[in-house]
Amino acid sequence: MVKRKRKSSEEYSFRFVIEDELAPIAFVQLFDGENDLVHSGYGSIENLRVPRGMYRLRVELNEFTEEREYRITSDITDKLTLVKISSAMPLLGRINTHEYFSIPTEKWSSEVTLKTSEQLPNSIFLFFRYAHPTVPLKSAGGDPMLHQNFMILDRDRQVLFILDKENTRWCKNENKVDNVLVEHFAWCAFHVSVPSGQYYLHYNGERKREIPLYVFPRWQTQLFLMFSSEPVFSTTRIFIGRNGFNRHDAEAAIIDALLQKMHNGIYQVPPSIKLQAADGKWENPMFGIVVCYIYLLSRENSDDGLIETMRKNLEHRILDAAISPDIVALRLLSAIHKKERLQKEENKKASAENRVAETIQFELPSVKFNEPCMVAAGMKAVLNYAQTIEKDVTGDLVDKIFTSQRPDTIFTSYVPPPLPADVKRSQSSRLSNLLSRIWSTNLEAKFEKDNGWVTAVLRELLAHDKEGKLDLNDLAKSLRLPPKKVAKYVRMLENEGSIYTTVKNFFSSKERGRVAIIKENLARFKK
Amino acid sequence: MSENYGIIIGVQHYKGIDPLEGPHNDAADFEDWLRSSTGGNVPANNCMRFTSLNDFSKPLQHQIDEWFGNVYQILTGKKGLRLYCYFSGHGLGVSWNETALLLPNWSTIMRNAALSSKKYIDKLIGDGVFEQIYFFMDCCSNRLPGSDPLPPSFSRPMTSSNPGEHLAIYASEFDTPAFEAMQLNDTMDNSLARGLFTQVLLEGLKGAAAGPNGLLTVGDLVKYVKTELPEFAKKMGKTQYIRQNASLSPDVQVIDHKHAETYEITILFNVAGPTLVLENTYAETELEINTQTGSWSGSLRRGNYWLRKQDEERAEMKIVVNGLKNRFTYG
Repeated sequence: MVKRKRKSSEEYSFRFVIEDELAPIAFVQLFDGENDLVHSGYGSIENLRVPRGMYRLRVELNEFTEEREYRITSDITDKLTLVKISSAMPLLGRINTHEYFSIPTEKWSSEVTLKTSEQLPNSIFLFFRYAHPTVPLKSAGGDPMLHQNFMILDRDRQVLFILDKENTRWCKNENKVDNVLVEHFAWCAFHVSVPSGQYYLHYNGERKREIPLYVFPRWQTQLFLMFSSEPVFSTTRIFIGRNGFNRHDAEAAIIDALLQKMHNGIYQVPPSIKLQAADGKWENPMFGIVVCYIYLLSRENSDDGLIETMRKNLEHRILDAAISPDIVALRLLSAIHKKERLQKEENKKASAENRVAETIQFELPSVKFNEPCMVAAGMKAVLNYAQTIEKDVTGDLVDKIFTSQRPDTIFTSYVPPPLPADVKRSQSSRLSNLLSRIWSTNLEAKFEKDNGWVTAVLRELLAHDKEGKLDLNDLAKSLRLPPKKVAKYVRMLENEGSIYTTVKNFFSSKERGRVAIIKENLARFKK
Repeated sequence: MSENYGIIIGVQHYKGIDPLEGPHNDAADFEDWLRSSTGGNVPANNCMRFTSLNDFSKPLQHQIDEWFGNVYQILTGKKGLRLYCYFSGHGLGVSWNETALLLPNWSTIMRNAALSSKKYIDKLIGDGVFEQIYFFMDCCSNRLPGSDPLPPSFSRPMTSSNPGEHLAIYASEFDTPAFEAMQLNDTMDNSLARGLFTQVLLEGLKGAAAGPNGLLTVGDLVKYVKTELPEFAKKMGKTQYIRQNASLSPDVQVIDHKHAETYEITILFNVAGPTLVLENTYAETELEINTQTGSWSGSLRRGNYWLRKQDEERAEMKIVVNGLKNRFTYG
């Protein structure tokens, strides 16, 4: 039995205005006095007619939520003037933005901190910052250590720049109001012009990390990061700027908030943003990249044409779009999205005609990913692609990082494999000693060993596959790895096979049974 | 008459990750509700609580599945009415509708040592052993690659032609963590860390979520937890929203017990003077109250009420009559 609600016959107008540049992406819900939803949508509420009664309004934008209660017995207009959210980007209006962060960001994103022989219109700008109400940042000899252990790698992961106190600009100070300490703060900026292409920010501290960066021709790739006692990678923001950073940049504020939504798994592009995108009223490639990712990851199909136009605009605006991993990933996602829509339509048609739906034949574009995307969602698309296509579509580095990706940021971030330079150095210095040579090649092996979960899970899967049904693709899907990568781990297990044979007497009969099944399955893969 | 069954799993010891502090208490509280005649009304023999040991030997999947197997055995040829499944522990989101419920022996190496919420729910629905299946999961749903949680090892020989219906409520949205918080109770001497979700869920199940007629339906419960959890989490400085999916109709009763429709309410007035108006959800006057007397006592129907000064338009105080709290202080 469906409950019927009593309703007042009196109706009034309810208007709620959000006076903030983030209004288009603020999610607003209005509930009646019995907590039933009356309205939900993005941005301000314009002239909603509601019956007399008690209401509760909730505004949500990332970590910001605000609730207000209303007794509606006449027409009501109310407003919200500031959406209080924080960001690693020192944009105006964010609660953790202070002039002592935004002014140096603007200054040093316009001037290089490291002069190179050739001044190019493309650059990398890094801005790290620290703030704490009571604890000053650890420092050595008075220098804040924000730059320590950071380096920029080139496309081949060779070290290009090691950040130090000479090639960065930095500050460490206290913020006092009326002689009362408000917070300790520090910042560090690094800006260098580089040829367009693929780069990596490599952190060689206690908890190693690496983040891919792509520099588009005539654009500046900006990375913002907050610190506590060590870098807080979950706060990473990568942005693209034309003439340095601008704290008043409304487009940047929207992109920043959309990225956070995406990180929270909210794949919804508010209608007004979609319209803005369709009209081409945006300049920053990051705007196009983020809106396309969010839409293509959603299950929405209503604006496929519009997003496709936007994606193509993006390719036209960026000169080397064809080789930027994110742009290529978007082309791929777009094709997958289209394929899913066609299949959905076929399913619906088949269901109406009372027949079994046919599998849509749809060829995905032929692409290869030698470098990782900046946005983690792109990497997920690459993985799905690698699992559905028989061709080898991923490069060595992309393969390696699938097992060591960290999920704490919206951007691709992973525990890095050893730097090529380290492997070489280790080999040459110890080449005379056989045991040491084993140790040196084991730098790579150690990285794989840190991903020991893969072999452990693989062993489990093979041990349970008594009927030998699983193929490489099944294993890849279970492990969420490209089949090529799984094949490598299968080979590692084959090597273990000889160990099993040697020590088999140490196994219990149950274990011996498991080992036999694993070995049978491995032999099957070898064939 | 068909009976209700319940399984409660609380895991706070983990071999490969940080321990939790709340799951055992949460599991005990849930069991109290489950066995109460005004709650789940599950007979003692039909109820099993698993809690973890610090040697990580329990509960493992075969122990849990053995209980299900025994229940299947008992219910051969007949059907159970309701099955309540509760899990408190670490979790990982596999997809938007699947969470890996981590067992004590889970580690980054043993990353499949977890129960798949989806595979268990699908199996229980398909086997048709119970009419209604409830899954309440107080755990995180954030992601870790390469985790393929385990399907159940029990099964009926054939899929039932009369499958069950279900309600699954997850403590957090996909890819967001669920939180534990210090419980601030009246005596302040109890510093149990509790799952925020479990606290709100139990409040709802104990009657706070029931509709105006005192009956607790699937729709009422979901609405209550969906509304109250974000507010409660916000008080703890957290953001937490539930995720749910259901095939059960919103008007299906979660329990048989009918909660009271009216409650005796007392309102104390710290500020004597103005005449107050108590209004209902339609902003209609229910009562006019003279605050000079220092307090007001009377019977109110279930629902939300608001107090305002007679000569002012703005509501000053919300009074929620749902059995949780019967004394309120104004001013």
